[in-house]
Amino acid sequence: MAALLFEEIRPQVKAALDRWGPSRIGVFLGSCNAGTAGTENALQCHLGGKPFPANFDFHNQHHFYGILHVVRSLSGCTGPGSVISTACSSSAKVFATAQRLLNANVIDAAIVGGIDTLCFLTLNGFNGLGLIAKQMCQPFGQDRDGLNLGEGGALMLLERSGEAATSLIAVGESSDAHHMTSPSPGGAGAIAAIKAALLRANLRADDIGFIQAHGTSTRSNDAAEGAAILDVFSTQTTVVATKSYTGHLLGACGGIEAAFTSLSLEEGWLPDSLLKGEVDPKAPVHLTRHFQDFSGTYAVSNSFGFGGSNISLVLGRSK
Amino acid sequence: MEMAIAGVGKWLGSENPGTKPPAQLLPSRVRARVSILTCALAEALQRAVDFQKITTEPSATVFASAFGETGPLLSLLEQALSPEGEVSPLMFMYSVHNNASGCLSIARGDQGFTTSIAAGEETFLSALFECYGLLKDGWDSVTLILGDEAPPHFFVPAEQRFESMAVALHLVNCSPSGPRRALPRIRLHTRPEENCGKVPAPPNSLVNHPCVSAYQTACLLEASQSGTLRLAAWGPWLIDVLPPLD
Repeated sequence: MAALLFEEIRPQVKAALDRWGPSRIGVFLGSCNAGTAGTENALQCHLGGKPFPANFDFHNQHHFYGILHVVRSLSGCTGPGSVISTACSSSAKVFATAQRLLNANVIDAAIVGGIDTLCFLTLNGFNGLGLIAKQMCQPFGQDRDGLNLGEGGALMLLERSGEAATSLIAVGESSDAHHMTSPSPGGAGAIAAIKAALLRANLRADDIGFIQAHGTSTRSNDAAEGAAILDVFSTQTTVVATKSYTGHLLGACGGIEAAFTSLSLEEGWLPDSLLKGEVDPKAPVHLTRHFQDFSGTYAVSNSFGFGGSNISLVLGRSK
Repeated sequence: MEMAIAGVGKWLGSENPGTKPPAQLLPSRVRARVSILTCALAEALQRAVDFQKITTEPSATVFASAFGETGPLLSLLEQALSPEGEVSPLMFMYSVHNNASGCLSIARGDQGFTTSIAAGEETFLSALFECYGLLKDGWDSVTLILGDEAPPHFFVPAEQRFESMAVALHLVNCSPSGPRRALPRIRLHTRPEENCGKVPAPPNSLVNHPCVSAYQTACLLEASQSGTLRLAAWGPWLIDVLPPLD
């Protein structure tokens, strides 16, 4: 999957290599599961009394390094690299890491994004927590009953300067310090992340044209995020939720949702959030209910994960 | 890229064979549920706090582990692969890579910055870049907590095994004046000709540990010694451990 995604940005990375040189381009990726499916296969063999698969190597397959190795090998970028695993905020956090190292003049460009694959553990784990929807997920819907798991990813190229149509303006990060799997009441951690991002971007809430919500479609997460959005923004600020298209990509969702946000800013449209019923009256966010044109300049993309890890990205049209 | 070290702590599995370290930062009910790794990271952090020589503003916290919650993950996988296929929700909750980050932020009531890195053999190097970026971004101090627990023997051939280990470093920006002149420093660079001293070999039990260079760095800092280490098998990056400016 890493190789497939990289092919889509190969021409832009080639240009960046010519411009900055390989040692000045970092690679920062997010993932929750990385090599877990390979470990599952090996363990299944072991439990069945069979030897491990011939190609199984705990050091090289189990951990998260594989996706970094693949993208770095295919791209030829030799600058600093990292994999971040902070559950569902993982591939949004890499934007923050890259921006800090750009600002510190350690790098001039970075490949950022996230990749996650499905495995038994994730499916059974979320099922055990009672969080899997019986139908297509309905972020912020009154009748939402849980999430749909997905697999996939996204890669993007950040550069210090260039011709890109959109820019990463600022990030805001916080910790709930509340519970491993439940968000803080009233969305306090999310509010802190969104406000920090706006402060660093030197923007007001009404400068934001739309919010790409984390929108998992679970009862408690959407209630907390909805409360946070309504605390910081007006009831008329447009909210987009895209997990009805992709499922919840876990460690890769922040990356793909940042990509959707960037595309909306660049192309001037917002997708329908695919809600079938009514928006939850307890978190009455102004959700997109159909494809619509968009002409604003800035957007916020939220990602919140297990362990109370929160991040908001502010993206904008390049001037 | 230079940073000063205000505190250092380390823990080895052989200190508490077969049991979890005390990890007093964790509430006892949490300590009972979490892995050896999460307890080890909490223990190393406690030791770095005890070692600390200067006062700093609230710190950002960077957790790092090549493999993460190996023990709970493998137990869960066994449950998931059983005919019933049901996994314990509690154990699932504690199996995410950033479990220690979540548990310690809750235990300490820390609502500030935290992250969790998982970069294989480059984990220590990646974590140091993250710390450097945070210090340059305006944080007064950054706490790096890093470690991995020994994987089960049935999963790893003898020549790849290693002992459980955790290290914590409390990093601050270098300063040419004030009390920070008296702190030892680390410097990241790619110039082998600037080698500033040989480093004692790590214990045999850590030779295969993905973060062995972090343990060696902690040993040098605790012993007030200088030396240069390769940070990862990949790439040109070296770390110098340097004496205080004073």
